[in-house]
Amino acid sequence: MNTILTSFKFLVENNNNPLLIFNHKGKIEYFNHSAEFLAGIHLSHELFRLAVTYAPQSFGSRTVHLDLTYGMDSFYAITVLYESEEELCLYLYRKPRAYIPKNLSFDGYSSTDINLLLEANIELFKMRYNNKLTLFTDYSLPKFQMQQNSFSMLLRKLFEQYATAKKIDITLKINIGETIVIAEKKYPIIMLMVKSDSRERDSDEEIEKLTLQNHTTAYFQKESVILEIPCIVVQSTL
Amino acid sequence: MNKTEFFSHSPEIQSIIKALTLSKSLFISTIIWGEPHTGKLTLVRSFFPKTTLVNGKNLDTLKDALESSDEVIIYNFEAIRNIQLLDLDNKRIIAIANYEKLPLSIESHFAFIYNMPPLRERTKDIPYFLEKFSKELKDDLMIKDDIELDINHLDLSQNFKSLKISLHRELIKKTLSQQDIEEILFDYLYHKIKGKNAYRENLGLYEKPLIQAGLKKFKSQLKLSEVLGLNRNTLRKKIHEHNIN
Repeated sequence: MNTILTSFKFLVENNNNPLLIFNHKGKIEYFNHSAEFLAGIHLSHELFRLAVTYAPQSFGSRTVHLDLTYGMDSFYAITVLYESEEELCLYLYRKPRAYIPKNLSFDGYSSTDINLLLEANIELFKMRYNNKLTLFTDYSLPKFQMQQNSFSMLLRKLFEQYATAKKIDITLKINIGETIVIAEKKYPIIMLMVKSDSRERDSDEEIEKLTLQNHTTAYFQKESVILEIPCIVVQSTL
Repeated sequence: MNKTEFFSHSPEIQSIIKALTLSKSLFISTIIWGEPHTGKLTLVRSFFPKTTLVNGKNLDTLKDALESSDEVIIYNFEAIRNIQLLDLDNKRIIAIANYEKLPLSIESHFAFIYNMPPLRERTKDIPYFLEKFSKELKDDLMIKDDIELDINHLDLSQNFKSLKISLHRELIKKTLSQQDIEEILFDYLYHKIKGKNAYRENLGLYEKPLIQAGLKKFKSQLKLSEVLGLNRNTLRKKIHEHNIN
């Protein structure tokens, strides 16, 4: 083997995918930067059980495709590795986030009152949904650039996931202090959260495709979905 | 141009109206589908009175309208076979389609999809339209008397179209004189009588409604046989002969 001077520990520590090493009792011995939020006591037990469940039958590694969500992060696969009885290693593959191009095209975008767009979509959904639906919103949100048609299709698909829910809470607000940089300009982030007791997750993939079309990021959790929408306010010269 | 007004007490339609009110200023694609003659176009026109109106059967005109305008109403949308050839994005499109069942492909082309309920399901709307159309027809026919209509004789199978036709028929029937009836029968029989047994074959035209009306009025074969001056057995035989229930 050739001698390589690169520090593998540095590569592992700064890897975008979380990596955790447990001892035989399930206690975390090591985690990289990306796994910091997973290393809490509650999640560490759950992750250890996950690693044990999918561990290979003998020394070596095993990769399994799974659909996992912890907090705001989603993963599409895990690899479980061990070369001794003392340590068990878990590596999680993060799902890619929506890609927002540097030079965002404004084709098809128009200045939109998101509250009006949201309320029209809620009204459409309520034609088939008779249970309790509550909207918490900030009516002072500015008008910003959106593809109204495509975003309405996204909302329709999203609400359909809650068609059998007993109650739905929808929150629309600005994420204070958070911004997104597009074409070297910073824009605030508007957060839309739909939360309930249950949701049908079959259409997650379809919703993700629609979020990409709308330069929006979706975070899927068991009972809720969060959309982060860039609040692109442009001058009237557009 | 007169402003088109749309009336409905139906909760489903009230929801459509509410959503249209909220979304009418947005650049979104909307489709309203349902059985023919349910008032879809009237509803859309009440929201978009000045918008370009294009027939879906005329594809070339439709393509021109979509190129030159960002707000178009398309009626007879069900006639369009290749929807993907149309550029419906980022415009205010309102399509009206006479579908009985919504094709799956529609979902990917329209953000707002509304189903217009048929008139027979809008029970709260029927009395209003019955009164409205009766008044219009009575004015046309110059009928001044109050006429009691039997709602069971009205036909809602083709929504407003069949309602108006059946209402027209009912009003005519209620105002016929004996001379009108005789003239109608004359015209009918003039074309009908032929063969060697025409008397017996056409006797039912008189006997059947006579017995049916008598049974409805007197509710007893015994009483009716007295009123008609017929033997009870003869009446029973005729009831059987004309398949009267």
